[in-house]
Amino acid sequence: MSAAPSTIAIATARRQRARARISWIGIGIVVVFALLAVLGPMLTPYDPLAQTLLDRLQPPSAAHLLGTDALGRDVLSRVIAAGRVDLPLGLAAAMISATVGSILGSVGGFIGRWVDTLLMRLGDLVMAFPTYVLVIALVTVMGAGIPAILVSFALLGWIPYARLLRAEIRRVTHEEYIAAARLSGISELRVLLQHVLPNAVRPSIAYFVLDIMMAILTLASLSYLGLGVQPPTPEWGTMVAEGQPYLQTNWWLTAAPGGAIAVLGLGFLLLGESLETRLRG
Amino acid sequence: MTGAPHELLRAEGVSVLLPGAPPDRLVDDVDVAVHQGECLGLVGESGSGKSLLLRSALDLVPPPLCTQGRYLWRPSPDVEATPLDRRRARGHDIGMIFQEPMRALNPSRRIVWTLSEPLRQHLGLRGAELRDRVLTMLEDVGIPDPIRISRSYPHELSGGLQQRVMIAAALSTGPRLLLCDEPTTALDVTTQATILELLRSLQATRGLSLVFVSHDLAVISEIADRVAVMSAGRLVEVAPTRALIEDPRHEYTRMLLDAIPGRRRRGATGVPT
Repeated sequence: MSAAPSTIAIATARRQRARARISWIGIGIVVVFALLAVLGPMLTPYDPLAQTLLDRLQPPSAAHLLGTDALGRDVLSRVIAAGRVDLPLGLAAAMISATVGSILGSVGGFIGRWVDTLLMRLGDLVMAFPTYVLVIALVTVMGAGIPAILVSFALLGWIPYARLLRAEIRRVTHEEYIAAARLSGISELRVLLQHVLPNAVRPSIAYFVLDIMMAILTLASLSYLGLGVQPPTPEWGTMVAEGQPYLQTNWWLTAAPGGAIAVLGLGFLLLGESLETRLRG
Repeated sequence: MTGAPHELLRAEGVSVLLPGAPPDRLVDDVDVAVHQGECLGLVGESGSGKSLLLRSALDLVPPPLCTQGRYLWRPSPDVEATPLDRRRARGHDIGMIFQEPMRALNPSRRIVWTLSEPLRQHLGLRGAELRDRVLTMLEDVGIPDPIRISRSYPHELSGGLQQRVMIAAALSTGPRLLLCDEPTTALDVTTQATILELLRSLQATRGLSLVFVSHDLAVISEIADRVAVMSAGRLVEVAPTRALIEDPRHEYTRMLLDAIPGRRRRGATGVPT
């Protein structure tokens, strides 16, 4: 019997180390992509918009590490340049959703009663529609492009944040330290901002990281459908769409931007999950 | 009826109800008063409504429960203390400490922040003055190394230290009445004794009045001047501590006394029935 706990302890420690390693992989991927986006113009070997029609549809080579597309543009340069579009837009979309959702969630969770009911039913109403159909409808109405995308993300993306924060706020509000804070006679707004929110915000932080990834995916999907970022601006979804006709002969045109989305998505996923387990403790 | 001059806080016909048809009367029509400078013990088994009664005094009963009846506060004994008055009394006239100090301290803030906040809000203290005041408060509740403790987070402190910090926080704005909701139940016996000692000395040096809720008559008998016994939401007996222990009037009080281990059964020795 005495050996059993130590075996379990060793296994637990091993699992924790593996988890730490995985979260470092996630951080590494996200940092690399962020650096590529920030340093983009210094790193791209060619102008991502410069067309060299004589060099069109070149396979990967020393001159063009990821080959060239149908207009002779360097694919590597375009993949890097696209990161400067996708990453900040995904971040902005997630931040807008988080801000709107957190405000509505705090109001609903803290005030409760009919305000809460109204907000949550409104969320249910929006969630009942298929997301993409609604986004496409909104973008069609407002006209394709970045402002329309950010607005539709804000209209749809707030709901998970509102629900998460509301649930946490309702939990925290019943804690004794909130009663103690109220007893000290401070204003209700201060109770919310200084005592309730700092203790309720953790799950939202983990979700925020995952949401950046989902925002980038949605953005790429919309751009693929021609509703998002418009050509010739390099964007991963647009690039996948542009490469699709040549999938049989020039697979790298789709594989390069598709791979970028997949790897970055994996990075955010690993980071988000490790944050989630860490913040839960 | 108006409160007598020596009364600090009087509950008149206070009930705490769980709405329904008919409503559940969790605290049922309680009349009780706390006198100036005394410690009133409030004793009863779990679920007897003693904590709710305490919380209703500060309008802290969790929804959907609601309070009926009225509270009279000494400075204006003729005026009914409305829920608003009770809320205003928080932090000024009445402080409160809780059963589990760990749960009553904001876990994501350092002690110094938690203690500073009401001082900043109510007294407008800032900077060095504020910090000195916090350290003095910690010293006053017998904390040995106030500088180190003030920089700690609640989870880094022992239960006894946490409860001392809690007491310091409750006393920060100089209340005249301290409501104690089973403040020693979560502590081990030796720590319990030091906290009781601290409360007794604060009562003496500051002229503080206490309401001390506990299910433990042994603890109550150590600190309380008078004891109020509650059972199933009703107040069954109020008497000076000594009288209550030596000559319990109510059947339920006798049962409570008999429940103390190592105590001779009294039922047979004859209170006339």
